[in-house]
Amino acid sequence: MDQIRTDFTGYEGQYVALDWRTGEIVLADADPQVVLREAKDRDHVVVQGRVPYPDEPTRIY
Amino acid sequence: MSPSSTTPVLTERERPTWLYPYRQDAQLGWHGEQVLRPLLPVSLVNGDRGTPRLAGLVATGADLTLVSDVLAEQLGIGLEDYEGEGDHLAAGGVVRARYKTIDLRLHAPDAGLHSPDAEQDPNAGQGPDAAEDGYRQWRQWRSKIGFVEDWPSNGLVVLGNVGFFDQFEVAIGGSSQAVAIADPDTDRDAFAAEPERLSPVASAPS
Repeated sequence: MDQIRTDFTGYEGQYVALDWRTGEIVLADADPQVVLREAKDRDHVVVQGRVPYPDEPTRIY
Repeated sequence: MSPSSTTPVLTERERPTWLYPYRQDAQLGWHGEQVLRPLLPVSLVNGDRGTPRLAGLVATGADLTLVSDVLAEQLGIGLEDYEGEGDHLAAGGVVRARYKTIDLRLHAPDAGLHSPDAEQDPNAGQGPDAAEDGYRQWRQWRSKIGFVEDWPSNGLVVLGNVGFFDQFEVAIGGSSQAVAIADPDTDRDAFAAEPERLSPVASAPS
């Protein structure tokens, strides 16, 4: 089963929403409320969450 | 045509299994490799208010479905009016969750994932063949979940035993890297055929 790949580079520290079909980041902002609000008006968009910085500890979830 | 070669007719009570390939997480693994996780498109609903679609992490080790409290604003709910609260160990620390009963939706993997405006149409939640087979683009249920202040995760939703696993038959494939979701089979006890497997101490020779 092919996996959808996403390039999160450049969005560290921001909350992002993706086009769920392609994995493309379509919304990004440091304020999660901005992303949540903007995502509601877009088809195929899913809010993924916050992109961590590379030096942050690897999270279990 | 033999019965085994016919296409099953699905009723509203016999919805198809939904299959979700793992999705890429925003963090890299501890060797710098890409991380794929069981993320499902879910949303929370409170009357006519709702969140956008959110990537919910399927977490078999979580006792309860927990979400970030930043979602409360989208739902128009006040967490000062909660139904209980409790501490949970999560991501290596203790978090305090305030419990609220709310509607949750799991969106079909091939659903259009249309905007909430489209959902105001009473037929918008159904697939193109809804009239024929009762197929819906989401499964919705009501459950008590925990809203967490100072949410420690990068994602916003953790789907745990209460509020998710208690609603479905869930199969997580490690090698296939996919999650299968089906309605619970209330007519069959999956563990009844081999009860000894559930009680190894009782079945061990003395």
